Amino acid sequence: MKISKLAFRHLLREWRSGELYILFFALVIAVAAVSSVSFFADRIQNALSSQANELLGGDLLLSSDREFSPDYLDKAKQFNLQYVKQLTFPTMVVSNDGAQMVWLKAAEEDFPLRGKLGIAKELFAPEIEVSHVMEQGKVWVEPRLITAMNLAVGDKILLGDKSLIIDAVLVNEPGRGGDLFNVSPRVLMNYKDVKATNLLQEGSRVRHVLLLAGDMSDIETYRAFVTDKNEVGIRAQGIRDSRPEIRVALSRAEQFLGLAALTSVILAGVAVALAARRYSQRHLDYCAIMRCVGARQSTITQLYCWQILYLGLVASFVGCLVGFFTHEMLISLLGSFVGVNLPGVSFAPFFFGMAIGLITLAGFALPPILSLREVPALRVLKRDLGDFSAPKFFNYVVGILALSVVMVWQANDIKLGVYMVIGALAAIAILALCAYSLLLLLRVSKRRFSNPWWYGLRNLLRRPSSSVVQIIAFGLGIMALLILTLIRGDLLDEWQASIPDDAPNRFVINIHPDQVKGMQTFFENRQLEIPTFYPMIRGRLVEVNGEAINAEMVNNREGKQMLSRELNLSWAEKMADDNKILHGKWWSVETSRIDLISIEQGVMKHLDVQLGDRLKFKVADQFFEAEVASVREVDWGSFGANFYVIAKPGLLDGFPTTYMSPFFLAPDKYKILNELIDEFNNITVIDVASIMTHVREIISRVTLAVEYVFLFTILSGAMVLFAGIQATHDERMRENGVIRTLGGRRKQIMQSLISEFVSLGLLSGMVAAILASVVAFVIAFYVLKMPVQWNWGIWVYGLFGGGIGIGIIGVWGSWSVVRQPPLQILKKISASN
Amino acid sequence: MSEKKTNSLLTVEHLNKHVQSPTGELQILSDVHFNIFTAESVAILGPSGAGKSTLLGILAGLDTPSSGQVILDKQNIFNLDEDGRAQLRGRLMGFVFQSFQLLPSLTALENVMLPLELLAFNNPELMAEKVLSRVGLGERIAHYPRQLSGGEQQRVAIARAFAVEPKVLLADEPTGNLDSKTGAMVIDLLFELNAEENTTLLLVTHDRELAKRCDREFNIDSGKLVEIAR
Repeated sequence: MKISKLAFRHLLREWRSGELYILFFALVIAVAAVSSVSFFADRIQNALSSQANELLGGDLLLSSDREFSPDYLDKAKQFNLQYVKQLTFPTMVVSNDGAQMVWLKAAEEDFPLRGKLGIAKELFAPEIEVSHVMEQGKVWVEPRLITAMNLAVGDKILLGDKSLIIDAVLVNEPGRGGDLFNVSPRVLMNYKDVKATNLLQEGSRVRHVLLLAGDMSDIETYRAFVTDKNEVGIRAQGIRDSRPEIRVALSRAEQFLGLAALTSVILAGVAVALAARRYSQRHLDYCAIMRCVGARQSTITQLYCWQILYLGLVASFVGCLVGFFTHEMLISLLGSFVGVNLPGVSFAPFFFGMAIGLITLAGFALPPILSLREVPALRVLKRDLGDFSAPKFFNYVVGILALSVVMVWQANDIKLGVYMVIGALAAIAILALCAYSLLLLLRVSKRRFSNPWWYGLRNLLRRPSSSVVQIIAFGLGIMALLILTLIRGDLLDEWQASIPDDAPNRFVINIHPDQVKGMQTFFENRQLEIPTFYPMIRGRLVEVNGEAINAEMVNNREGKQMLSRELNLSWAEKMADDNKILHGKWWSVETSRIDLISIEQGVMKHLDVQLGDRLKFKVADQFFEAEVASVREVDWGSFGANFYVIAKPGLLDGFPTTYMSPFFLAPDKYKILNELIDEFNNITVIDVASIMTHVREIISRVTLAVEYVFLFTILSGAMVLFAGIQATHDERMRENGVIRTLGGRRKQIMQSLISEFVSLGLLSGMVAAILASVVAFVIAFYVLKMPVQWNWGIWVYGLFGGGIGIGIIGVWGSWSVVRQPPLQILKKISASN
Repeated sequence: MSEKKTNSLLTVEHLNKHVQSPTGELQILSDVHFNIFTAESVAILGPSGAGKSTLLGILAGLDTPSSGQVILDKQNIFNLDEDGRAQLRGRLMGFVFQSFQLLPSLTALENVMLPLELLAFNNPELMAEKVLSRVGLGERIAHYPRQLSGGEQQRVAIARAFAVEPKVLLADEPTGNLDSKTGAMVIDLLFELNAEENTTLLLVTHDRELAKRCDREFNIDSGKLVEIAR
């Protein structure tokens, strides 16, 4: 009989006899947890991305100062991507009241491919969502143009040679996120009308845009095609490249979900390892008999490898199915809350689940099971031979390697994955040290263990290696749960709190220096908080230490972007509260030198600028040069006014300056904006509320997702406890059978079980609380870059949760030991002997 | 008997076994040598700790001697490596143990099928069923060891031992865990099968009555083996 077939038959027998249940279900739950998280995260993340893409109007935006060659369109067709062409350029609008500079966008009818356009039938009327641009002969214009030119919906305007009717007020337009600071009011028209305007002449300052949408993998392939083509002047932009707020929110979302799934993976590995150890211990006799009746070592190896493979495939498949249905159930439960049409399921989480299942099984189960080949045949005569109950160093190494691979893969972020691996390894080492120390402490105690309560403690002592393994497993489990509690509670609150309810929702820009005082009075008169006014200068970096620099000279995308456009420059005496100095120091007023600037850390990183370097900027047709005095960390997700470069007051005197001011306006007070525009008709008010709403929505959905993922982690944690209890079940059964035969009462055994498991839980909980605090601090501070507050709650949860949780599950899991009559136990023992 | 004695199946020459103990070297077997012929039944008698099980382990190739050799079917088994000895065991030997050594997770049928499957016999199920019927357990093939009495478990073990039609059957205190009545039934079965299959039987026991049923008896004490004259 072929060994693969024989292995299959053996596996079926094992299954029928119930020997494989623990290993199988540990793996099923592990894979179910991981794959459901993966399925769910995959769809939520795709949904989040596509929701975020609504702000862009598509999944990918290509822009160029020339018309796109046909191969860009052909390639898009080849990948089944939807696309729309757009043109944007500044131009003049003429009406009966005069002329006004506008920023014109002409889009094909299918625009936007993602998200909706928001229009209103009159100024400040409720917004209506539409999914296509207007028909030919009509335009939609921004409120600012209506106000500035004293227009109304239904009026005609002239764009070049073409007269067009204002069909609606343009309130919300996907794709304008990237150019938030455009000064001119915007006008949206049908692409087909452009030709008739005759506005596009040779040398016109026009930007050609190709907006694409489709399957994410096709989009990525298309993006790679564009990158490979490397055509000068063509820029590819996904949502992650444009709005920093969205970018930060998305990457945090991914980290949170990854982190939640990682904890499930760790717990699953521990559960599988415990179950596999028990499995191999129970197979010592099996192997001895096989060796005795003629099996070679290689036969045993092959037999178990095949069995593990079959088991892994079936359990992983079942796990994936359970994971799939669980995530479907979760989504249907969340239906009304999720509120977005989730994209379909991809196969990736399925393969991921299968791979994780097999890797976890191979890493944790294979080493102890393969050591069975070493069982000597002589064990049939001498039962004490070949007991591999003490795990080998090699097994740990293989397990840790497998876990590392899984963790880095699952985290989808090498840095986060490596932090987790290091955290887990350090945790194991410290847990082991603490566990041994406590056991040693008990050992040196002179106390006589006659009381049943002490007998439980002595049980821990009598099985030092098994106790240490269990403390490590439980400690890791509790630690993961605590970290997640911390993340879910502290970190998430911290994150949400980072966008306060009264965060600025409007930006006023283009304020003339003479108008600042008048505007302050305007706010004061209406009992509104007077906002801060920031000077703003648009300038381009042209030289570093006397050497010219341009976008072609840097290799990273961020650096190229910084050099290919004008940066927002400002000056300030004091640094903003949410900025932080990383290098150098902020200037004091007393310093007479004025040619000093402070740069954002991205400038330092992406343009390789150092402290003390001299940077030269071009502002309009003037230049200024200054030395980098400090490097700042800026919270781009804060919605405050942030600047790449801040100069010392005095340096930028005489340069063309406007002011900007972010402020919060309660939704019921929007009419004040009319008065503001009436009084200061050159200013531009930008509504950032819609961007904020999106960010808030993303955050709240991620919070919900993390909480649900948390449920799987708890399930995996319970599985570890169960596998841990099962691992010592036989031994416990044997001992207690003998104790009861010798006259021990149920109550005494119960007391000893309670004391053993509660002590185990307390010890694991205590160490887990220490480690959770450390790991959470490292993750929050170094990875997520958030401040952390000390949380005493984790000590309470760690100790009481560990003690009570493990106590209850432990006693419950060992209940059969107390419940069964001693004779029955002894019969079982003799049957298994 | 004379025909049997012409074919030596198992030859043991100058076998010694010593191990290190806290009090120094411990001699477990001392210059053991004997011959066992095809289809012969031999009993090895001795008190606990005399070295009976060690001798059995070495004869089966489960353990290695400090010196000396064991020639089974014209082959020195210690010239083979561990895997080679395992193959030889599978091909030539059957075992019956005091503690039955049935696998608790397998049914009676599957326990008997195990060696047949490992040796890649065709139709192991049918063969196992046949031999289980022969030992009177045809109706209990689907039972797990825990669902069988001690006598029944030992009969399954005997069926497993005879299933591969071994040349030599090694039995280590086969009635040690059974009451006298059940033990007698099991021994009757063992001898019956031995006669039917023309198997060589090597029986380790401390039961003198049982030993007398064998063709020859040896006594082992303090590692020295002496044949008991009849």
